[in-house]
Order: sequence, then structure tokens, then C-alpha cells
Amino acid sequence: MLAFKGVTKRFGGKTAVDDISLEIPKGQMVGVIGRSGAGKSTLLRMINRLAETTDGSIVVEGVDVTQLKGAALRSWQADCAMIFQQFNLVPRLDVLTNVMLGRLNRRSTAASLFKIFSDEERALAIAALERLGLAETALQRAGTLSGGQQQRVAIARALMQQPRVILADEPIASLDPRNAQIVMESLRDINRREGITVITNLHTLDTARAYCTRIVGMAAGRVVFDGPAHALTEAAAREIYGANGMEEAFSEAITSTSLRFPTPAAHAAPALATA
Amino acid sequence: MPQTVSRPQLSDAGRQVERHWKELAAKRRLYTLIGVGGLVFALSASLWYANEANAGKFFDRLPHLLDFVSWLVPSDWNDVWRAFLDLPTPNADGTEAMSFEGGRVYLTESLYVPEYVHKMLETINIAILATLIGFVFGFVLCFLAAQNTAPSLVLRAVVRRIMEIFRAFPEIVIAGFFAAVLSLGPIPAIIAVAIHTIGALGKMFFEVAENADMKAEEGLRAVGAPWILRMRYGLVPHVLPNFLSYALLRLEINVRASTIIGAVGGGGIGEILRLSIGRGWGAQTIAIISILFVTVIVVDQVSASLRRRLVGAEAFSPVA
Amino acid sequence: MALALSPAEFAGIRSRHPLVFQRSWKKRSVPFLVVGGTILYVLYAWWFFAIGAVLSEGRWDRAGAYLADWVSYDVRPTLRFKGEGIEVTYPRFNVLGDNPDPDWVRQVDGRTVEVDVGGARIAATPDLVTITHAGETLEVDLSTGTPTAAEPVPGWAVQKEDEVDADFGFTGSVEIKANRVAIEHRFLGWANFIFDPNSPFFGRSTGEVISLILWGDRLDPDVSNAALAFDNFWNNGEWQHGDVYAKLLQTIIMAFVGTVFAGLVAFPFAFLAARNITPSRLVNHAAKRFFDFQRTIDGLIWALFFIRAFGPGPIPGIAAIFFTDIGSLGKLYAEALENIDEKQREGIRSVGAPPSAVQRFGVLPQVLPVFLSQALYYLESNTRSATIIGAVGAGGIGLKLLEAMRTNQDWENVFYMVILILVVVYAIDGISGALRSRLAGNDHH
Ligand SMILES: Nc1ncnc2c1ncn2[C@@H]1O[C@H](COP(=O)(O)OP(=O)(O)OP(=O)(O)O)[C@@H](O)[C@H]1O
Ligand SMILES: [Mg+2]
Repeated sequence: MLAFKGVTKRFGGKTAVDDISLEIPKGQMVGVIGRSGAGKSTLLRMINRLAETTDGSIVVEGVDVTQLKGAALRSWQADCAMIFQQFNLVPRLDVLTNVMLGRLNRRSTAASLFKIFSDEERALAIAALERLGLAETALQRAGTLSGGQQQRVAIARALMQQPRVILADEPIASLDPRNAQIVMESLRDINRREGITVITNLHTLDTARAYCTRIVGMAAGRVVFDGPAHALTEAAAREIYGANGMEEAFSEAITSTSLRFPTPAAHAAPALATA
Repeated sequence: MPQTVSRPQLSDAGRQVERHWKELAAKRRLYTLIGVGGLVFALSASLWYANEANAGKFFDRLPHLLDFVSWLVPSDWNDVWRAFLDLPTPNADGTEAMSFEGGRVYLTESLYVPEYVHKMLETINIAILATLIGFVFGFVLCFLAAQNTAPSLVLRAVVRRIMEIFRAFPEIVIAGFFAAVLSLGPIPAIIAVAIHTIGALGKMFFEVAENADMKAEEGLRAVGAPWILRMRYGLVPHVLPNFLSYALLRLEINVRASTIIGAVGGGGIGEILRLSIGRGWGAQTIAIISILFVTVIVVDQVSASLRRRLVGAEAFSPVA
Repeated sequence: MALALSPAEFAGIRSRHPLVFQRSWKKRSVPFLVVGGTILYVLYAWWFFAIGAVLSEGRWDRAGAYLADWVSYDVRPTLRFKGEGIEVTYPRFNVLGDNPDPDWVRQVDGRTVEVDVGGARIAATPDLVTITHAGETLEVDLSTGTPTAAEPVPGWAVQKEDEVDADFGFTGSVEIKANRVAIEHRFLGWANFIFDPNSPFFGRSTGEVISLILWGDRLDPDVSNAALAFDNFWNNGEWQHGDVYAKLLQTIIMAFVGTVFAGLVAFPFAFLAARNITPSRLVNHAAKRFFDFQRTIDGLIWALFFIRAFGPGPIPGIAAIFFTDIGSLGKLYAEALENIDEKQREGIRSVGAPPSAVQRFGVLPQVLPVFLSQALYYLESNTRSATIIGAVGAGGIGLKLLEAMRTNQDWENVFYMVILILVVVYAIDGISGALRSRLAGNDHH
């Protein structure tokens, strides 16, 4: 279980995240929604310490992760994989290596320094790639892949981390609807099958509704909605997005995916079934 | 039709704008004038002083400039290649100037490397070794010095100061100091050029690192990778082509630097060039200059083509 | 997720993706080739320069002493035994002047002299030398004719065949022989930096000197005390301030004049070399090859030629920098010209301006800041080049440095000049940086 207790983040005088308290039980798939600048990214980045908290604590199984340092901190970071809007892969390295980099925290630094990986690790990386339908690109440079493919490589890398939590910061914001759907389905598949907690920031309401069991709505650094997807009424949405933000929430192309696939589980990509 | 240009009537505000503009333009012209005047003055004063301080006066010596050139022309042009290959010359007259065989470096009983080739090789090796040392240290240090990668602020400040001092410290003093400890020769030259290279490359490298895209590094930070691996995979793949390209540029510069430091006692082609010109040995001087010229061209061309392969057209962005 | 694969799964993956597991020999060996090649080259260079031999034969013990000389000086009194008496002598040229009488050397009586070297005390009589240092006492018996240290000998002293040596670290050392005790006492700082021992101001306190300058009687009836003091300082025999600054100025002038002239000459040639300015391929090519040629001829060659032609001095330095930088600057300038924004030029041309005006208003404003900033860059690096060209024989601070290093005696002077050079380089760096950022700022207007 992951518990936020009065978590606050200030940049200078500006409060990006304002006294948030939340509890996320293991295995949930949580969507965090809100307008641009609401503090979604900051909240996520504080969990795996890409950003430091100003105040409050984030407790995971009895450990306050905001206080971790050194090796313990890195070990926690390995436990909560992060997926970025811009994928953050190493474009000049091949896909296979990129995936194996997910294990950097769990193996000898000296061996990693010289890029020495075992066949076992190669096989694991291929297995992760196969699961995301990308095994054929294993020896290609990551930078040559399409955005959607790169994001799936990032997810494969996250799988290699054997994480307890996956954090995804707008994983589909730079993808077309088709790729967005594949990525979201992969995340849900991982959540369902491995029981890994997934916390994902999403720009749009409908994606969140379609894939997440629980939705947290943020506005101006505070949680203004927290509940199951079906409880997200138009009034609640209005509070999250503000009166003139509603258009932003619904107008994105991604909205259409959930309309076309009202029950996306039934349309799982074939590649996902093989793993 | 007679053309009359009448001054347009301006509003008050318009007049004010016009006045300001005129004032500004006048001020700018004044500054330009002061700048150019100052420059001309500094230049004339410098020239006068340079002439005063020089052993030979410019206008006294100018008519004799070509005497010297004629002094350089060998009596027999064939001596140039004989000097180059250390072959005996039929023009030998018993003086050192006309005995070319002395400098041979024998590999076996009969196989030898001509002196100038050997000296040129020495200079090139000084340059390569110094560049290599500079590259290795610059490479390691730059990640400690770049703002976006430095693991500690104190360390970063220290490393930056060291780089600055290494860059600005006069090379001859380093060479001279090590010559006092190790005796004259190429090794003090290597150390001197290498130390300067560490400073110069280190600075370029950390500037490259500071401009690098940090997304990959952030990704690895989120994986929990330790600092050294974040550098290894997050930055190195990205910056290495640029680093290598700068190192090649530095190699071009270092070939020249090792030549000149050789002339101060560091050995290599510089030293014999200085001796040869100092003694007025025409054929030898021409031979040495030719081999130096060809070597510099080859090094520059090879380096340019490698750089083009590494980073494309960017390889030719100006670097001082 | 179970991260362990069953043997069957593993075999399956292996058979589906053979390429991943059998990476080509070529690809695998690249890093080894690079590392191996580098190691081989280093070994070759090691052999070529005989690095091992040179390093091991190096007189590393002296390196420390030389480095200490950069920031300190020593005084070396010698106690000579003359029969039953003892006499204190100093080397002829020493920092304390002709009649040194430091308070750390005391003649106690006719046959005893006490010397304090830092915390150590040496008490010498013709038949016994006693040294107290770091809480231990060493007694050296001289009565037998061979100095003999009494047991136990402290760690800082050593008994040699016919002498006993004591070492107090940085502060100094003592060498005891049968007929003399040679003492070295080292002080941090530069000795006689303002006045040398020949100056009438030597040995006076700062207050005394100031009051002499302001209202004291003339020390030399011909000149005022202020002028005398300045002259004594400027012509200080040990530090030669006047000469050092003159040489430094020469070096700066080499860099400055060389760079300015190179820029001025490169300027018109760059217009000829730029394809978009001069439409003749032949001219472009000729100008560019000219730049390449200038760059290829090493600065050293120019320097040596002009040293022969004009004798040592700033002129050869200027010439060397000038000739090499025509090529470098010309190349950069031509590139800058070829990268200009065509729109501005077309704008000027469209109003029907004559070609010279097109260049003046359509091209120059774009490239002038770039040209200047490149020249400033070169000024910076040329200050360093001018130092070393000077050492080759052109004069200036470089040659002075070389001369100061030749004797291995004047490392403090070397350090003084190094500091001055660093100050100049940093100052030029700062000024040119400021100018360049102003130029870059003005770019937008
Ligand atoms: N490094 C930073 N320095 C200063 N302010 C920051 C920084 N990072 C974020 N902020 C501010 O904190 C607030 C929250 O930013 P955050 O990136 O968390 O928003 P977000 O909800 O993720 O928005 P978006 O949907 O645009 O990604 C914003 O007002 C932003 O300007
Ligand atoms: Mg965000």
C-alpha cells in the first residue's frame, strides 16, 4: 500500500502540490486527471523521487520513501518504474539494451559499465518485448522506432525492473489513438495479471474512465475528486477542469478510442496474449 | 516636373521620437568613433613599441628580407631529397651542413629511418599521446564539472578551477619544470601539451554535456541506476561523437603545439627546424618544412574526414 | 511478474531470436579492438619515448625542492670551526644582504653559536653540536674528527660516513661535518620583492619607507625619495619588475597586433572566398586554398623565419600570429558569410541599391559581430601562443621565463611571471567574454 500523508511541493513561492493525502492499495489502477499545471506530474515524480517533497511523507509498506538516500533510494526507484510522456529511452542504443537497462539497479555496476549482459537477461528482455509485440525490433536502434513503439519499449524496460508500482506520466500524450490504445491496454494488462499497482496521469477524462478503476482528480495542486470511474459525474468533472476547461477534457482525439471500444478488454492486442 | 520634397509635418510625439532617434544615432556614431579611434591609437602605439623593442628595426631590415630567402635556396636542389633521406651528397665539403648521413636512426644493420621522418614521428607521437591523455582525463572530469551532471557542487567548483588553470597555465613552464626533473626531451613536452589539453578538452566536453538532452538520463534515474551508470548510458552514447570530434580537432592543434614546444627543447621536428633555420641550412630547412607541411595536411584531412563521419556537417562549426 | 524463465521458455526464445544470442563476431570485438588498440599504442609510445626509463631516472627528490622554491626562500648560514672559535658565514649573494645578522642566529660566546630553525634549536660548539627538535635531542660528537651521533638517533636525523644530517621538513635542514655545520632555514613567501639588498630602503619597515618617501631627507641628493624608491623597486635586481612588465607588454602586443592585422587582412579575402558574395568559383577557390595554405604552415616556421629576418623581439611574434591567423580567421569569416540570411540582402537589393551598398547594409551588419567575436576568441588563445613563440626566440615574457628556468635557481621568479600571465589571460578572457556577449546581444537590433 502506498499512502500520501500531507504531501506538499512548492517551487519558490508557487505551490504545485498542496497537502495531498491519499491511500492507494496494492494492485489498483489509478488515473490521475486534471488540467495542465494542476500538479499531476509533480505528484508522480515525488513518488519515485525525481522530485523532492517539500512537506509530508509518502509511506510504502511502512517505509517513508521521501527520506530514503543512496542505495536504498535507488532500490526504491527500481521498485517503482516510471514511464514518461517522451519515453526517455537512450535513442542511440538498440532496443534490447534499452530494455535490459531496466535492471541496472539489480546487477553489478562494473559489469553494466562494460555492457556485459548474460544470455538469461537477454532472454528476459526478449520475453518482455514479445509480450509487448516488439521482439522483432530488438536489434534496432531505439531512436528509429515510432513513438508508440518507443513507449512500449519503455514499458518493457519497466517490466524488467520487476517493479511493485508503475508510474506513468501522460504515457499516451504524444501518441496517435491506435498506439495510445495499445499502450493503455498493455498497462492494464500488466496491472491485472501481475497485480502491479499502476498510477497514471492522463490528460483526458474518457481514457481515465475507460482504463482505470479509480480516478483522482486534481485542481491547483489539491485532490478535488477521488472515487471509482463511474462516480465521475459531469459536475465532478467541471470541478476538476473548471468551467471552460471541459472542452479541453473532451476534445482530444484520444477520446474517440474509448468510444470506439466501449469494452477494450475484449480487444486485447494479440501480442499481449502470447506472453 | 520639378520635384520638391517637403518635410512632412510631424505631431509633437513624432517630433520627440525623431529627436530621440537622432540623439541615439549620434551617440552610436560617437561610440563607434571612440572605439575605432582607440583601436587605431592602441595599434599605432603597439607598433611603435614593437619596433622599438625589436632587435632589428622593421624598416632597416625590410630590404634584407629577401636576402634571407636567397640564403635559404640550396645550391643544388637535389640536396633537398638527399637531406630528407639522409643520403650522402656529392656536394659534401666536410662541414656539418653538408653531411646528411649523421642523423640516421638504424632499425637493423642496414635499414634506417631518416632523421627527419623519425623526428616528425616523434612530434606526431607527442601530439597523439598528449591528446589521448587529455581525452581520458577530460572525459572523466567533464561529468564532474557539468552543471547538469555534477554529483557535488564543491567538487564541480574544484574541477572547474583546475580545468581553468590547466588551460591558462603557460605550457613552457610545465615543460620547463618537468625538464628540470626529467631532463630535456619529449616527455616534458608530452606532459605540458597533455595538461593544456585536459583543460581545453575538459571545458569543451562539459559544455557539450551541459547542452545534452537529459531525458535518457532521467529515465535511468527513475530506474534507480547509480550515477556512473546514468553517465555511461544516459549521456555517453549521446555525447561521445561530439567528444571524439573535438578530440580530433584538438589533435590537429596539438600537432602544431608539439612542433613549437619541440623548438623550445621538447625534441621532435620543431627542434631540428629551429637549428636548421638558425644555421641557415637551405636544403635541410626545405626538406623539414616539406615534411611538416605534408604531415599537417594529412593529419588535418584525415581528422576532417573522421569528424565528418562522426558528426556530419557540424564538425566544422568554428571552435577557437 | 515471474522474472525467471523455465528452460523451455528460454529455449523457445533462443530459437525464435537466434540473432540476439549469436551476435556477430565483428560487433562483439569492436570494444576490444578499440581498447586493445589504445593499449597497444600506449605501449608503443612507452617504448618509443622510453618513458619508463626517463621516469625512473627522474630526480623526483628535486621536484619537491623546486616546487617549494616557487613560494619560499631559504637562508643558509654556515658555522665554521676555526680552532677553538666558531664563525658564522653566509653565501655571497643572499637575500639578507651583505651583512646579515638575523635574530635566529646568536653568538652566545666565543665558542658557542645557537641557531633557531623553526621549532628546532641547534647549539654548536667546536666539539659538540646539540639539536633539539620535536621533543627529542640529538648530540653529535665532533671531538674524534668524525661527526658521531649519540645513540639513540632520532628519526629525523641520519648518521652518514663522515657527516650527520638532520631534516626538519619544510623549515630546513642541518648538515654536520667535522669542520662546519651547514644550516638551511626556509621561509614561506618571496624575499626582497620590493627592494633588493642594494637599495637604501632595504631592510626598513613599511612605515619607515613611507615616512622617508613622504617627508624624510633625501637619501640621494639628486632625486626625490619617491623617485628613488620607485626606481629601486622597478629595477629590483632579483625580481626585475620593470623588465618583466616590459616583456609582458611585448607578449600582449604580439597577440594584439597579430590578431588585429590578421582580422583586417582576412576580412576582404573572406568576401572573395564566400560563394554567395563573389560569384566566381575560381576566385572562391583560390581564396579558400590561400587560407588553407596559411593555416597549414606552422606558426613556428613563420616565427623562426622572422626571427632571422628581424632579430628577436615582438615583430617576429606578430608576424607568426598574423600569418597563421589570416588562414584561420579567413576560413571562419568566409563560413560566416556563406551562412548569412539572404532575406536581408534581398531586401536591400530590392530597393535598387548599388552592389556596394548591398554589401554594406545587407551583409555587414549580419556578420560584423560574428567577425569581431571570432577575432576576440583568437586574441585570447593568441596570448598563450605569443608566450611560447617568445620562448622560441621572439622575446617577450616567454623568453624571460625560459631564461629564468634555465638555472633552476629562480623558480620564484617563474611563479611571479606565471601569475602575471594568468592574470593577463583571465583579464583578456573576461574582457573578450563581456564584449562578445554584448555583440551577441546587439545582434538582434
Ligand atoms: N521545476 C519546476 N520549477 C518551477 N515550477 C515548476 C517546476 N515543475 C513544475 N512547476 C510548476 O508546478 C505546477 C505543476 O506542474 P506539473 O508539471 O506537476 O503540472 P501537470 O499537472 O503535470 O501539468 P501538465 O498536464 O501540463 O503536464 C505548474 O504550475 C508548474 O509551472
Ligand atoms: Mg505533466
